[in-house]
Amino acid sequence: MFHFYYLRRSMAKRPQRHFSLYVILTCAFLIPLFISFYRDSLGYGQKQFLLSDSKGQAFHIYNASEEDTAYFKGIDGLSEPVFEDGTIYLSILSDDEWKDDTKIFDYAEEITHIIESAEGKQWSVINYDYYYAHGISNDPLDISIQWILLIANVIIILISAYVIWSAYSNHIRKFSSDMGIILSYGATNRGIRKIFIAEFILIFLLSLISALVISWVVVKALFVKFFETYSDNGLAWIIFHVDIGNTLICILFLLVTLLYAVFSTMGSMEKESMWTLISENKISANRSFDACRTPERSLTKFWTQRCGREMYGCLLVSVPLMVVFFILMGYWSLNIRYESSVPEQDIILSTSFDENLGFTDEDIRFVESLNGVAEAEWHQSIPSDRYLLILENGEHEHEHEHDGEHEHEHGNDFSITGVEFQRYSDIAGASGKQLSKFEAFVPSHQDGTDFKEGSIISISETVGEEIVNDSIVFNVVGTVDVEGEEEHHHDHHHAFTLFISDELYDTIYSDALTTYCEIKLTDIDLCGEVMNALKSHFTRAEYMIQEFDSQIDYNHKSAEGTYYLLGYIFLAVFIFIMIIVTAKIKDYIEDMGDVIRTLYTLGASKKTISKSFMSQAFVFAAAAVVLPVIITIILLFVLSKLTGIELTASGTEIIVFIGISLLISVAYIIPVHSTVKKVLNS
Amino acid sequence: MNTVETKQLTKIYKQGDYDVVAVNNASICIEKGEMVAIVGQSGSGKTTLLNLIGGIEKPSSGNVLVDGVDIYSMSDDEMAKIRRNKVGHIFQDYKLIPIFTAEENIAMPLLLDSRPIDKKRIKELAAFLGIEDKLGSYPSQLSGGQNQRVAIARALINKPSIILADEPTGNLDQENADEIMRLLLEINRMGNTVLLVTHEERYAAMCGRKIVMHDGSISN
Ligand SMILES: Nc1ncnc2c1ncn2[C@@H]1O[C@H](COP(=O)(O)OP(=O)(O)O)[C@@H](O)[C@H]1O
Ligand SMILES: [Mg+2]
Repeated sequence: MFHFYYLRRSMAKRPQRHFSLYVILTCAFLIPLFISFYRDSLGYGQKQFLLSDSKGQAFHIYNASEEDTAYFKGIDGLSEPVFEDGTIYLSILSDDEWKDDTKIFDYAEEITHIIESAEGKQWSVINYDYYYAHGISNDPLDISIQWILLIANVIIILISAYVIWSAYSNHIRKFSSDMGIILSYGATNRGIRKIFIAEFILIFLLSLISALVISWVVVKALFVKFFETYSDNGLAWIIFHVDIGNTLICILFLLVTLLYAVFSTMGSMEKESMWTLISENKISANRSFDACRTPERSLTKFWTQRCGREMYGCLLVSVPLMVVFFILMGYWSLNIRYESSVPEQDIILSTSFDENLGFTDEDIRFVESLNGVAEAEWHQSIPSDRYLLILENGEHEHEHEHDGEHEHEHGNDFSITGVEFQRYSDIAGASGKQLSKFEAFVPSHQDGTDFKEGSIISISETVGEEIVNDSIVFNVVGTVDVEGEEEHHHDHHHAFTLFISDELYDTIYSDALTTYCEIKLTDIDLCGEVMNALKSHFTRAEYMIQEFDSQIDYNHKSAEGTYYLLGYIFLAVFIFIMIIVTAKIKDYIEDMGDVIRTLYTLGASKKTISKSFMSQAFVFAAAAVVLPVIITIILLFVLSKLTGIELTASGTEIIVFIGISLLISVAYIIPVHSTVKKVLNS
Repeated sequence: MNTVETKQLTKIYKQGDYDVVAVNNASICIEKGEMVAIVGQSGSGKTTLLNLIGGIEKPSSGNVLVDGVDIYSMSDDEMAKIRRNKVGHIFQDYKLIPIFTAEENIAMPLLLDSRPIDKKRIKELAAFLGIEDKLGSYPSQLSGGQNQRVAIARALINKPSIILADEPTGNLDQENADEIMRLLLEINRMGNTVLLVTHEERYAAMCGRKIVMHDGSISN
């Protein structure tokens, strides 16, 4: 077959022409695949984290034994209890009910009732909403990250589509003279199509397979490296994962673009007469041209006006890609700053709270003298069930349970919100207003009440009739927003802090025990050693010693890890951008080969020609350096105005951005220099 | 029967806002075995007329009959067949395919027609044109004169009804040009119909007949 013979010949005799197309296509596939894999993996890890935390169940009842399941059997609308590792799990059978917060609340009350009526049990319960239990995060931060990545992914696919389209149509155009000759000797358009379609299938498959293999191996390797680096910090939730659907959509879109490029270019070639193809009559814009002062400048102006399409095309690729990454990196660094504003503690030591067990002075000295302990923060607590906070209308609003409680970090805890008492004199100072014994200061508004921020409320000490033991009941004078009841059980992050008079404080804390300690280590590597020392000292089952791996720690490490991972991916994508730009510019200069040689024969010196191209390269390189930084700053400004989040680029970030951008200028300047030299010497 | 006949052939190029009438109402007849020269100033429409006859440029109006059939009323496939078997083009700047050797360039029309490569005939043609030792070379390795000989061999390989040569000597030095002209005359003497565009009066005078073009029109 003549047509395949021609194709084989072309590949053998002009390999760089086909190879350059292959390289550009591979890079154009790689960039969106990298982002797609990254996005899939983050989403998947997030989901796995939520699933493992919630176990896919609505209620977790801790401190339970296998026999305890009997208490929770046969609750209408709930699944049969499942026991595992000291926890009983219950699920809501109907998804619709599960999605309804008030229903969850009802079930929760039912469970709380069972818990309260059981004798001598120390259960505690946490509930999970439908989405959390199904691995769907409704944390606005997570959602915004997924959206930002999706938008970035779409933009990147569009840029890749442009790269593919322009590279492929240029490629086919290069064959117009040969095709014209072949047509004039009797080839049919169908025959010509066969050549291009055969080449298309070959190059498409080759570059797609290369891109899939490279992106798979590289992204997976990055994740493995990442996983190994961070796994000891409880960060196993960044997992390499590829969503076949997303990958297919990406590939299909690029395939359609490719097919469009191939068929539309072949179609437009078929419309032209063979003579136009043979003589390569490219119709160029009729723009007036004024000569400049030096021949170099005239030529530069000419290149930019008439032949600069490829250069503009390079800008169209490198600038938006850089902007997308700058924005992503800026977003993640903001995220890290946000997450790292939360204080960190490494080990938590506590006594289980029902027991009237506290740490002795000797215990405190022991812990503080341990090697590796940088700081130990001790918290006191009042024996439970001593104080109830009752609001004016008699609603059971807040039950004071345990100071510095930390068990409500994940999930919605509706039932218990700790009330923390602090000395008013600590914040008011000597000059401040004196509180009488039964007055309290509200430092911040509390959801579900209409205590105003900064107001002073009075509390009265009475003995509730329904309370049989000797608990002290605080009747808080203030009205309760009963409508807002639903809201307050969402608020699980902050305990309600009341600042009370020294007198009342001393009364309440007269029998307080030291029950809780946050230990900061000098070096995280000493964690195991300190843990062992603590375990051998506090041997009784009532002591709890935990490595601190809460959500906060997870989020912080995760944000940091994701940032570095993104950094590596950006590095890879950056290399692909450089390759695409280099290949496109080489093509451009080689296409100008005839013009360059003609100018040379006309008497333009090598220096003049080389200089004229170099000035063009410098102009575009400058644009490639400056534009992404400017656009990023403008976009950050607009985004922060729109979202209300403070998205500012810091000085160091801008310097890093400019530094990275400067590197891209290499891809604009070096290939121009080397290719002009090569053409002039041939 | 006439080998080539054109009827009121007109070609108008749109160039920006105005039209260029490259060929204006040209009607010519070329009989089998003739050697006809088309002469005229640069830009008078010689190349365009030749391209219209060879089927590589579409007329704005009028007809071209090759061996009695109207080539522009044909389907894409039928017209390709005419180009394969009835016409041989020789261009001023040779237009060889750079990735093919001389031999492959010569054999290309056979390959396009799915015919077996007739090595013997290629050898004979090459010997006749004096390039038998250049068959393995690529166009970039050959001189202008040698390339034009390869192009002539390519035009002859399918034994076309007419050979269309557009200033085949235009890029060559005197000696080579004379040699190419001698070969074309020889080819005509062997029974081939040749339509030659030239602006050299000397060569036009060697042909059997002369058509003069002026501003796209045939003048007598
Ligand atoms: N592709 C084209 N587009 C526009 N004008 C053309 C084109 N080809 C030829 N012409 C114009 O048609 C006229 C005839 O050209 P041509 O046939 O090449 O002349 P000749 O071969 O006699 O020198 C010229 O004025 C030329 O400018
Ligand atoms: Mg001409």
